[in-house]
Amino acid sequence: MPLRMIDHPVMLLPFILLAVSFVLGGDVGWALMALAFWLVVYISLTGDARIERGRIVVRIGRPVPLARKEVPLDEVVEVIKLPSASGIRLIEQFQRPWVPLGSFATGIFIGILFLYRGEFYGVLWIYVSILSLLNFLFRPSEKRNRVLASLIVSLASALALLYLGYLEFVLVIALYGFFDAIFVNENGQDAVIIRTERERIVLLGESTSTESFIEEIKSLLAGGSNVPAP
Amino acid sequence: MFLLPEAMERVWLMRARGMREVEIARELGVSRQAVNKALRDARVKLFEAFFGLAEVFSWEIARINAEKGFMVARGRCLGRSVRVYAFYIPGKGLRAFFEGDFPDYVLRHAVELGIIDEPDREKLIRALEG
Repeated sequence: MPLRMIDHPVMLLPFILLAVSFVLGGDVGWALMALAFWLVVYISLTGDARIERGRIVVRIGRPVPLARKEVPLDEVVEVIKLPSASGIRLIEQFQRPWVPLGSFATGIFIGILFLYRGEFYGVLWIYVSILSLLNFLFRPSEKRNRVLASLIVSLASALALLYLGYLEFVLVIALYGFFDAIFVNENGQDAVIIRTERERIVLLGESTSTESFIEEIKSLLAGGSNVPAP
Repeated sequence: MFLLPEAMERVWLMRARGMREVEIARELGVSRQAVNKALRDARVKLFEAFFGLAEVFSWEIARINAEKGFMVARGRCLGRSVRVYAFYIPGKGLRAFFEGDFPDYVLRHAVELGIIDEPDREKLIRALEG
């Protein structure tokens, strides 16, 4: 999975749509909720960060980017690579921690309200919200705990859906939880922090992605800037 | 030996000590844009130098800070993994140290740049490790 930016405000969009869908209800509410769910999947699978034309280009969503951020390399003040051995809790590194925490809080709150209204898919939203929080709540070194947490959350959600009598969704959760646990266990998670004078960009991804990203920066800079004196 | 050009180094050092770009421009009698350009170029050169150093010795980079001019990396020495700390020292160039074995001039340099508030080895390691 490529490097992804987690604390961009656009990450809140699906959860805002979810809240609107709850308020509106009816067919429009259903359509908005479907759109919100599609956005969660689209954002989580298609964001990336690359080096293009001497700039760090961060996209959220591909091929149609919902957000795009460009940072010229000469604006970069600091580059930090946090391998999976690092003991830093990633949530502390975000410039805008209110984005992932806001997504989580909205997802949980609306999910509970859906359940209170007697609609089973509240469980799905609570599940999605918790799972999205797990990636940066744990330290990268706590891989085993992260896998365990994923399994527990998936099991609890599956049991809740089983209790409510939605067997087909139990299978969806079981499969999703299984793949999430396998992915985390095999790939772990690294982070690259890019700091400019104005902001800090935290990118999360698997080890190979962070390695190749750093290599790209390195090869670009080592290519020779031949900067003259002022 | 890698050294920043003299004028660029002076601008970079003033910024690393915490001066703002307008203050540097006023003190040197140049435009703020010239200061900004010199700082950008200095940062690129420092990144290039630190990446190059890590490449030569096959060190794994953990952190490069071009604003204060230091790098934290992991290397191998006599078959064991060691922490490497490299600094850009004005007038001297790049200097690297294993496992925080810093001489006094590096501690003084770190205090001067505001990385630490007193010349203490442990404090410097903690500051570099972030």
